[in-house]
Amino acid sequence: MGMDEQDRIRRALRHDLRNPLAVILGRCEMLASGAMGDLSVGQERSVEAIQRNADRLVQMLDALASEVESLPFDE
Amino acid sequence: MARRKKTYNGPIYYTTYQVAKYLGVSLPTVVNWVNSGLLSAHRTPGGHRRIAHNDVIAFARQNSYPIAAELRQAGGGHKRVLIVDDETDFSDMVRDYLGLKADFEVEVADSGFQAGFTVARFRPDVILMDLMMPDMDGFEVTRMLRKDADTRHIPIIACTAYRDPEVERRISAEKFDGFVEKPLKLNVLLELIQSQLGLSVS
Repeated sequence: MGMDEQDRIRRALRHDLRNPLAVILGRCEMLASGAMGDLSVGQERSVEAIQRNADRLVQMLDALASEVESLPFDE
Repeated sequence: MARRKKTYNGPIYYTTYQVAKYLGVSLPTVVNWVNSGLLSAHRTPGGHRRIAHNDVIAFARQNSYPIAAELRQAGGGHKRVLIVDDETDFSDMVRDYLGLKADFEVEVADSGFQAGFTVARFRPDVILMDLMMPDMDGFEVTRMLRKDADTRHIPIIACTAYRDPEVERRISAEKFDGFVEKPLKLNVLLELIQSQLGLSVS
């Protein structure tokens, strides 16, 4: 992997993919807080599952980014 | 249908006497601050000094004077928050959240260039500034605002999804008033904005 390619992948993992996740998690927080109206039990469970899995994705992205950063790049 | 009472949301000005009372100092002290240029003021046609609410708040914050509750309330109207971010889904979400949770007036600028124009027109009380934007990034916009005597006192909260040691070094060098990392907890962001505005945190 060249340095440019490594930078591109690192930027995607550290920045580009985190932005949509920020929106997903933020909208979940708004729904879960009840500020947009009460949720049914089923809706609440759904929002919690989306939140939990989006959190997992954030952790996976961080782990992947660290892995990419530790790879040696071709000169 | 109930008629909505019209309220004045423009700038509020104080006399030197009022500023002295709010900051707990003597009248000559305030006059001295104004005359030496430490506190911005303008003259009325009758020659009296008038000081803008935002300038009093900025001066108090800079010089560690406690902001009296009476002064905070006198600001009246809605506090103005500007969100600068090229990710429109993100800025829409923050605007919606602040609209639901607080009585703020919120505007969005989706580029660094637009931010400059919007600040001049909207006169925000606080700015949430995305750092990574194409063309003119958040660091550049912040430097520009800090250079301008009219805007340098506006608190700016840095916001980015991209955090590494170099970004952290630049955030510290630019002396932002706060920092949030995406993804973020919206309630934490609200608390940060409230504290920058001198409001009690909900």
